[in-house]
Amino acid sequence: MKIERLVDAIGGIDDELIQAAVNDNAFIMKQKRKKNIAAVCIACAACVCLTVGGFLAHNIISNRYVPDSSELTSDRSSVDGQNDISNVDSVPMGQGFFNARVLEVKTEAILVECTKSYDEVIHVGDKLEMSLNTLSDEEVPNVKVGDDLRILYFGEVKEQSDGVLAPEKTVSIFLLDEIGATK
Amino acid sequence: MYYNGAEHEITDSEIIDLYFDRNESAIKETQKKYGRYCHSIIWNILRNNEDIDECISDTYLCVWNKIPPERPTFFQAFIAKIARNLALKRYEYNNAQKRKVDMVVSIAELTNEVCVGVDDSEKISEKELIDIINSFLKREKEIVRNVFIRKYFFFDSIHSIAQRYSISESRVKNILFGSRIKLKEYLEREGVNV
Repeated sequence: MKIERLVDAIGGIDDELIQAAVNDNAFIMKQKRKKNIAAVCIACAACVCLTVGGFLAHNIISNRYVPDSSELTSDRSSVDGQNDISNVDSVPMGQGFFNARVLEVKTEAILVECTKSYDEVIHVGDKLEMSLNTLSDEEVPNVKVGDDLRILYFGEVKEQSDGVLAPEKTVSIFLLDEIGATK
Repeated sequence: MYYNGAEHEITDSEIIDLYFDRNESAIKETQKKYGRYCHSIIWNILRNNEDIDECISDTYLCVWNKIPPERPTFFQAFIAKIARNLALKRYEYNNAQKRKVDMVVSIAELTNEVCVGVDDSEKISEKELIDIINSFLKREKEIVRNVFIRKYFFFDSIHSIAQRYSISESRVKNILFGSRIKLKEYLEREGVNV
């Protein structure tokens, strides 16, 4: 077929189709609305990403934060077995901490005894095996038997067959003398 | 046209009535309402002010001669067809060196992907070919149909089509490429030698 025939034939298409392509304001508005809706969706998605990102960033930064017992207005374990929710905000979400004395140093873990508790999960006198592979970038101190530590942990605390508790993850380990906290 | 002292935009039906009454103000009203529209259609093809003015005048004369007896349902499309066809005739008449980019590109695309230049003029009538193209366009989505018509009927540029429908130029190109391929297949299926 010669091109002239096709060009002429396109020139003869239905008036209705041409009219629709000329008076297409409604269609144009629909296209613009689609674009606007897409823009709003992208903006909403960006907001969600920022919120989630901010939350995660906060948690990551919080993992580097060493809580001091003086920031707590009362010992949580001493409030008749109930949590003091007024202080919960000062404890990084999803993790807990306690003071402990080193009983034994193993290759990749230490056995400690809790000397001061700040939650209901771990109590004074509990023996715990804490991994030395910490989540935090903070350097793990060179601990020896008898050292007093502040240990931050994360996740579920399981009880082993010998009665020793084993928190799922160790976040950070600090020598109490270094951070100036009470033993 | 004035009603009760206030200016009233005349409807297409009223303009057609003026043609039927053989009232010369029909041309004046057509020019007032669709002068710029005719100009833009012819401009896309000729891009020469002198030719355009003559072509617009020819369009009004042709409309005057066709109405009556014809009473177009879609007056704007009716004028568009006349303006386009007269501009194409003028384009063919003019020197090939005057060819302008957008329209030549549009035709070249159709030649490359839809037609191979075989003359089959005796095999299928123009009316049949128009019916096939109509049928093809009606099967397509609204956006594809409108983009196709804006490009190959009105010879609008890719840029202006993209702006009109708030889509990217690459999307316009993709739509046109896809529609040319589909048109070729459709023509072949309908027994047209392309």
